[in-house]
Formats: sequence, structure tokens, C-alpha cells
Amino acid sequence: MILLQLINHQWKQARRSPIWQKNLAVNIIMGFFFFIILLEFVVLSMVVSDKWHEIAGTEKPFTIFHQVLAWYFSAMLVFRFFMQKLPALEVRPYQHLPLKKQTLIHYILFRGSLGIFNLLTFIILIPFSIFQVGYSYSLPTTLLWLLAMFSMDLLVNYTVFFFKKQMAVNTKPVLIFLGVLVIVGVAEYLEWFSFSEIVAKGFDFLLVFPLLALIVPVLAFLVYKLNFNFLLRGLYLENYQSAKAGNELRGNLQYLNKAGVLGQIISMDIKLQLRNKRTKSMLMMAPLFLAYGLFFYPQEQYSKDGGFVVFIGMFTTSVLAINYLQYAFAYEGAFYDFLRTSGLKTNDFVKAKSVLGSGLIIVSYILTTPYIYFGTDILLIHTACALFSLGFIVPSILFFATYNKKTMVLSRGSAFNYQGVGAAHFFAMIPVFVLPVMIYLPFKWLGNPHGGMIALGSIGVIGLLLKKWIHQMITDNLEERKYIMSEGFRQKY
Amino acid sequence: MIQINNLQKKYNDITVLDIQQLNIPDNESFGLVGNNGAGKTTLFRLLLDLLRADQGSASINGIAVATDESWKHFTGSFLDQGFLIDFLSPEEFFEFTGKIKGMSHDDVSSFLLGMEEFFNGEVLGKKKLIRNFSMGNQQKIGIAAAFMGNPKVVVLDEPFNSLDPSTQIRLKQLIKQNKSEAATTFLISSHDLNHLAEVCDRVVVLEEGKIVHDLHSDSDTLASLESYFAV
Repeated sequence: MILLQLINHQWKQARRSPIWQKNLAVNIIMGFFFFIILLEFVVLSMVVSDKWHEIAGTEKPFTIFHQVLAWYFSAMLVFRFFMQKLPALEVRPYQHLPLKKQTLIHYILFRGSLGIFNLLTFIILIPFSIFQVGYSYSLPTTLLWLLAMFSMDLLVNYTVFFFKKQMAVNTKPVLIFLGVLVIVGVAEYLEWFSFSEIVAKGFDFLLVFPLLALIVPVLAFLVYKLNFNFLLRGLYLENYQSAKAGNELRGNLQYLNKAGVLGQIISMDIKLQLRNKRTKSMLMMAPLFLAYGLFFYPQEQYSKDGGFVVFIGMFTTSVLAINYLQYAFAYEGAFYDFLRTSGLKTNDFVKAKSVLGSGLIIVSYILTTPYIYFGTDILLIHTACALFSLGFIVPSILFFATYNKKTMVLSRGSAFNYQGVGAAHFFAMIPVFVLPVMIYLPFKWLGNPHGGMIALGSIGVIGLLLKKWIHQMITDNLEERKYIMSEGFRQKY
Repeated sequence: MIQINNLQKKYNDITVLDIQQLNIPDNESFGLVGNNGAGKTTLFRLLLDLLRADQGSASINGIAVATDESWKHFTGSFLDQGFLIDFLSPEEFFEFTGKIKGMSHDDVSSFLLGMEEFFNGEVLGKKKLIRNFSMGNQQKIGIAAAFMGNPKVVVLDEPFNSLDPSTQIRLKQLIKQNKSEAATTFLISSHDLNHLAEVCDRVVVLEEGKIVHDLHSDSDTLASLESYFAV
């Protein structure tokens, strides 16, 4: 069975991906986190399902749940629309082989319907079907309900595929589709008319007349067929390649280019960050990092506890810089040979990295000044943390980065992507956040928190004064390790 | 211009390169040929200080490459994709390379003007990033960058690969022209015996990391190379 063979290849590709093989420690850490989160979701879902009739608090717990589901499926629709794409390129190596086109299309559609979101649907639906639906209705009704809801997920999935494919050909229907979604959302929000109530009524109906539930799988199948026919007519890869991200050329940073070699390197580095998928998606996370304080500062017990503020202060002012500097030189891994032979001075390279890292800290610091709203002390601590980061964290992380010897492959997104990330990268974060707290706390315990801030700031200033010397040290280490790095970077994966 | 003494490179106790003595005089165009795994790229990488030599040394213009970096200012090279910054446009890449080589913006512009013919209108002004060019055009960009900043030495690893026939001819003209006008020394490897015989004063054959033939060009270089590689 050729379909099984294709799935087998896919499985092999995933399993043999060097990310799995070379990075055991990272895998264990990530696997552990993933497992914990999954477990938490399952338990949460079970508890909520069990107590749903109390939580919903009306006489119609099922209607309320169906309304939640209506929102869930709408959210999935939008989410899948932006996150998921049809794995059409996966069949490229098979297209020239004497395989039936139909088989390949079935495979593409099947592969595309599997994902982490399906798991979420399972986690939400199964406990509810056991604790609530199964409790109030007969077993066949429950099973039919479950079938309808899963088919709903598939229906959403294939609808998204269909619209995304339309987009490659013609953007108009997609814009209309998105427009309708927005209108429905706004209408619900302003309570003009409730889309979720209408859908929920439909779902309620399925429990009363269970056989109607069979309509949903039939609908899902029809949309599948629609996709199938569409692909059958136009399974040409050129239709899918235009959507590659970051192909367009914009922004040329002329002012930086005028600033000599250093400016050239910095402008090259900025382009690197902005024009590659992986670095770009990391940058998208930046607002989340900067807003981190909002989770804690509004609560008195945190904003008054200096030790904790130091932690948050370090995090908000320096996490962007750390994220960037940790992988310094590994970003350039793909063209390290060029940099090495071009006559670029290693010291200039180090300086450019330091300037950009420091720039990120200064920008983060400025953007987080509004936290002064939660107390002047917070701003003082942030200032101390920013100085400490500039003088101490930047050079330390940069020195640490000279031990990178795996290229960061930049063409893939950053979510769940640990290629090029070593366990050391995780452990390096610990002292960065613990050390400043440890410097600060003794002063606080002795009743002199301002002394702690001054201590942190002074360490930073000393670091800044020794900058030249530290840069030379980093440069020397880079040169010491030149062969190890070039050789490591040349091993692409 | 280039001296190599007792240069050795091993991987896991297997010697992949072992060159007792090799001198390449000024303004020579030196060709390197050998089957896959013969050590051509290894030799170039050692010469460009991209690999640590297990023994011996290489020097360019009297400068030992491993200890002194100043040779980089008059040596241009293009070995593989690792010599291209693929998220830049060709213009940005040339500007960047030029700056490092100490060229002004005007220098870069006039250099690119001189390269117009070689590019054949397929490289500049396309508003595309290097990664979106075809292999052949990427190859052109890399080769052109190796010629920036009036290098005394140019090292090219299989430069004729993926170039279209016209560009292959233009590249040979470019090499000959630079050799006669700028007295550039060339090191070129290739699998194409015709190209090497045409462009090079001297062709060295590598086999399992050792020099097995050292032919100075004359009318029957090609014939002797062909007989050497005949199966």
C-alpha cells in the first residue's frame, strides 16, 4: 500500500531529523515540559467537564458548552488559517515517480489533517462526552455526538485548506471570507446577533435527533472532495511556491551603510534578523517578553518584593538581547567561511554584536519605563538591571556564544524549533537571572535595598569601562576557536 | 606567491591531504584536478585557513596563513555556498564585501560596471535576494565577489559548475584578462579538463591527497590529462 509507504517515509523523516538525534538533553527537557502541559490540559478538561453543570450555572449546560465549541471552532478556523499550510511540497520527491496522482493527493490531505490542534480537540471533547453527554444521554447518542464534533474539526480543517488554496489563485473570495468572519465576530461582541447561539442551537439539535449528526461527517467529506478535485486539476508545485516568506526585498538601511565597516556589519545583521523566517518569528515574541511585568506588577506582593522585581527587571530589559547574543556567530554559520576569508576583522565583528545587543537592552529599557506606574522603585531597579545587563550580561553571553559550533538554520520558523540549540543555552539562562537577585538580596535583607541597586549598577559600569579589554578577550577566544567553529558550521545540520 | 611545505590533513587517522612541496609563482594560473575525494577542496580550505593543518604550513606572499591575517586583504575566494550571504541582494552583498575590502561606494559601482558583461544582465537590479537566484546566477555572484578589491590571488573551487556555456566562456576570458592586466595569480579546480587546459599555465593532478602529476601547459596537456583519467 503506497499510502502507508509515504506515511512511513514521513515518520522516518521526523525520527531521523538530526534535531532528535543529536540533542538528547534538549529533547528530554522539552519533552518533559510538553508532557507536563499536556497533563495539565487533560486534568483541567476532566475537572471542568465533571463540574460543567455547576460552572455553566444555567439549566442548559449543553447549550453553553456548544456555544463554547462554536467559539472554539471559529478560533480554530482563524488559527489554522494563519498557522497551517497544506504539505503540498512534501510530495515533491514522489511526483516524478509512476504513482497515481490521486494517491498523492489523498496523502497530502490526510497529512494536512493531522496536527497538534487535533489533539486539543480530543482533550476537550472526550472528557465532556464521558462526564456530561454520556451521563444524560444514551451511548449511541453520545457516540454520534462525538462523531459529529470530530467531523466538525475536520470540516474546519478542510475548509481552511480550500480557502488557502483559493488564495494562491485568487485573493478575492478569501478577503470576503475573512471579512465575514470579522463582521460575525464584531456582531457577537456588540450583541447585535449571536453567531455562537445559532451554532449552539444547531448542535443542541443533534442531541435531540442524534441521526442528524451524520450530516456533519458528510459535509466534511464533501469539502474533502472539493479539495481533492481542486488539487487534481492543479497539482503543480509552482502554485505553492509563491507563498514563501520573506522573498521580497525592502528596506536598505542606507544610513548604517555609510558608517564604515562596523555599520555594514550591523546593517547586515539587522537584515539577517528581519529577512529570515526563524529570527523574524523570534522577534514577533518580543512584545510578549516586554509585557512580562504586567503579569506580576499589578499584584502588590510581587511589586513590593524587591528580589522578584530584580528578576522581572532582568527579564524585561535583557531577554531580547540574551536571545539574540546567545546565538551570535551561529546565525552567521551558513556563511562563516566567507566572513573568515573576506578580511573582516574579528574585533569589528565582536563590536558589532555588542552594539546590537546593547541597543536591544536600551530599547527594551525605554519601552518598559511605563512600569513606573507600579512604583518608582521599579524604575530604579530596572535602571540598575539595564546597567548590569549592558556591562556584565552582554559580554558574558557574547563570550559564551564563542562556544557555538552549530549553524542556526534560519529558513525554518522558531516555534518548536530547537535546531542549533544546545542544552547549554538553557543552562546559561540560570546564572543570568539568579546572579543579580543574589547580589541584590543581601542588601535588601540588611535593610538597604538601594545599596543593592547601586551594587548592580556599579558592576555594570565597571563592565562598561573594561569594554575594550573584554572585547579583545572575546576576539581572542573566537580566533582560538576558528577551526572548530568553521568546521562545526560547515556541518549544516 | 604561494608556498606549501609538508602540508598534511588527517580525519580520523586517514590522511586526506599530504603535500610535500608546492610553489606557485606570481601570476601563474594554477589548475587543480582530481577525482572526488582527492583533496582539492581540502587543499583550498587549508590555504584559506578554514581548516587546521595537522602538519606543515601554507603561506601566501610570504605570510603564513594560519598565524597572520593580512593575506586576506589581497586574496579573493569562492569555494561554495558558504561564501554567499543569501538573505542580501547582490547589490548589498557586493557593497558589504567591498567595504570590508576597503573599497568606496564608487569603487564598488565601477567594479560592478566592469562585471556587467559577465553578469549578462541577470544579476543586478533584480530586486531579489541572493537565495532566490538560480544556482548559476548565485555562482556568478560568488565568483564576481572573489574579484573585488584588486586581489593578487584568486581561489575558485569548481567555478564552471552550473554556469551556462556563454558564462563559462566569459569566465575564461575574465581569468585570462585579469592574469594579463592585473598580474593576478589564480588557483582553479575543475572536473572539466578542457577548461583547465585552456585557462591554466600548469595543471596538478591530485590523487588520494597526493600530487601525482605536475604538468606545465603546452600543446598536449589536454591529451596527457585525458590519458591519465581514461578508464
